[in-house]
Amino acid sequence: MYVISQYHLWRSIKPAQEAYILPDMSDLLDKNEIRRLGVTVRGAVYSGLKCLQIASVQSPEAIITGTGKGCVSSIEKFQEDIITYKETALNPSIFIQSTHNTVNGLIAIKCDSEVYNTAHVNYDQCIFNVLTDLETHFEQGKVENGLIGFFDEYTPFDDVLYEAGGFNSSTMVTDDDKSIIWSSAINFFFIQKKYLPGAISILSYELYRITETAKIKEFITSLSGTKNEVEYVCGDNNTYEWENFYLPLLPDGINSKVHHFKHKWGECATSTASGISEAMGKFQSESNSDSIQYQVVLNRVLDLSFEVVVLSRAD
Amino acid sequence: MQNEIWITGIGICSSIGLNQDETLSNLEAEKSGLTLLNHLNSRFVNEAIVGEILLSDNELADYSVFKNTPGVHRSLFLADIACREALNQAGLSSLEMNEVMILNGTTTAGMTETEKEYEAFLRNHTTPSSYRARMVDCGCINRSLTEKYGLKFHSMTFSTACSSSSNAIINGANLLRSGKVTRVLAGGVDTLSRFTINGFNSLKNMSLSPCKPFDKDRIGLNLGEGAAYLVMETASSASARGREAMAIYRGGISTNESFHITGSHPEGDGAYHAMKLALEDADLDPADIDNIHAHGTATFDNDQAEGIALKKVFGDHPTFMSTKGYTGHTLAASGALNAVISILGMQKRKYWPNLGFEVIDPAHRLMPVVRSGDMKKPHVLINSFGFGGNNTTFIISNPSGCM
Repeated sequence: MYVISQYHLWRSIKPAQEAYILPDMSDLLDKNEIRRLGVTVRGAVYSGLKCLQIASVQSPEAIITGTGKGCVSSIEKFQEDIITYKETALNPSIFIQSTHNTVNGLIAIKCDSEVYNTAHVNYDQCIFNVLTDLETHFEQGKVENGLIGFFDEYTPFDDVLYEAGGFNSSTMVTDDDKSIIWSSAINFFFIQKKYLPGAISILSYELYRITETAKIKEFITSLSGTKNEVEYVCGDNNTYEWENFYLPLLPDGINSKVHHFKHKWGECATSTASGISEAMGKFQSESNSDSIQYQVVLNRVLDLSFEVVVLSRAD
Repeated sequence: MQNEIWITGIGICSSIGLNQDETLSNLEAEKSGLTLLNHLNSRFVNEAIVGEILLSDNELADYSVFKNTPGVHRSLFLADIACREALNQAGLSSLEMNEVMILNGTTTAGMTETEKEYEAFLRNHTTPSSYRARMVDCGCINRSLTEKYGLKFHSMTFSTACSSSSNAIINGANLLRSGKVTRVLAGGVDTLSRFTINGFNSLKNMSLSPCKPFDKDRIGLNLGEGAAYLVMETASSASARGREAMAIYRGGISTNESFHITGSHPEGDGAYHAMKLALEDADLDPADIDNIHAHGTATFDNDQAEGIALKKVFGDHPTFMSTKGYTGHTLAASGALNAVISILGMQKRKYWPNLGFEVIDPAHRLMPVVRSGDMKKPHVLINSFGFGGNNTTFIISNPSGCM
């Protein structure tokens, strides 16, 4: 599988309190869409369309998305309205936007796509699910390309849920920084089956239980044994995570460069997609031109699973 | 035969029964499970007609292996009841269970609990328990079932509104065909919640009287709740462990009609393409199909579009029915429910009538079956259509062939 283009938007919440870095979307969305759609639906639809535009593709042969919890602010807004208006006079637009495949449906309408179109909502396993789904379609000769996208949205109630769920200093963090940087993130990729000059190849992708450390290490070591120029893009959030969860997985005595992405991108269910975007950026950066051959994205998603995605310069 | 995908176990629970026997008994009696809404904290209690399972969460827990597990919600109870029935029927050993990948379809997941927790948070800044906090996303059902049953760690959850469980089934079959897995547990679950009832009411397509699928005077749907799952495996895998097929998955397709975010194309273009492509995938002609288990929600637009599409594919006299008059519209679970009901029908070589129909719709002049009948051909075509323009059709067959 070859990544032809990518486009992303993200927002880190804690501690940066940054807003989405939202571009002017009027080149691809009309005024009503910009006004009516919630921030994540709007951002995801725009990112999907922008990704297609960058790849110079009018309409993809498949549209597959993954999200941990969907457009949560629409869900919360509708719940709040149910309470406020005592189950009367509710706005159906908010209900529609809370549906997990609304982003897919809107992209399909905007690019006149009548092809395979689905939404995986399987929390930490979404990246693996979406790539498996597209790869299966490639293998069976059903499609030659596909737009894949990941979006997750952070709200204040999420903070309450995460804290209550035990994703706090006792299990996830650190001596020096007691908070995870929760984030909203949107990442889209246009992928095709056949090689194109300049494309980045997805050599493999794996999903492990977090307890399968020996297996993960064996897999990563097998890669570095055959490839001389491997760099690692790791999803650790801080020193504690790096030392306890990531460093033990890397081949002993490695000399490779290691990059860290969660201090910048934050944590969410589909954060591995942010790692892929980070790696794509490094491949495409002028200063790295031709110097990086392989990048391994290593990401522990909360305390649920470990994802490994191996990317290489296809040229 | 070696490339065939066999269905070796089924499980179902809905307002017409907590298992296959109860469901079959109510289908044969042509007894609807629609009642006035009872268990939710909603203004629609005793007002809305729904397909509700008439057991409280505590009562349902008695049927579930999650009875004493903290934080469990109604969706997980229902999924567990239907999944265990399917897995038991498939007769899998614990070693074989390790190879089963679950593909689930759901839209609500833990919504019944999330809406309570969110209201408590808004009113009093109350923090949910740690168990509840980890059970709000759609993937929590897979995580719980995988761990409890010892299934394969890798799973999938589809959420494409009302076509979610059909997407789980179609994708399960695709994974089996690709050789990536040898055995899947595919289906879906959704429960009634204040969120969905108010959502569909805001769209003005919820009926406060029993639904009338395909009737000229239909005024909307009745929501329902339920779960249904199929154990699907390659013929070689099933044969190797001495199992026979209850039904065979012949083919299916998932497409998008790219027309409107909630409405169907008025000429049924999306439904038409889904049915045509599914027939191609199954290598069958329209004349090979015995009956069509329609989506048939009883909303004005959906039934008109589906009816017109049925006419384009099957001509003036297709044998078709919607079973929403029995179970209500169980949203994400509806495609899997249709599949299990059709397989129960295959075993009796029967189909059951479309409840609530009286007057032919002039838009297509098609009449669904109003009396139970005998299956004469082995193949049943199943439709599910969802918001976002998502259209799915798949075909299952009786392994015993024609009468």
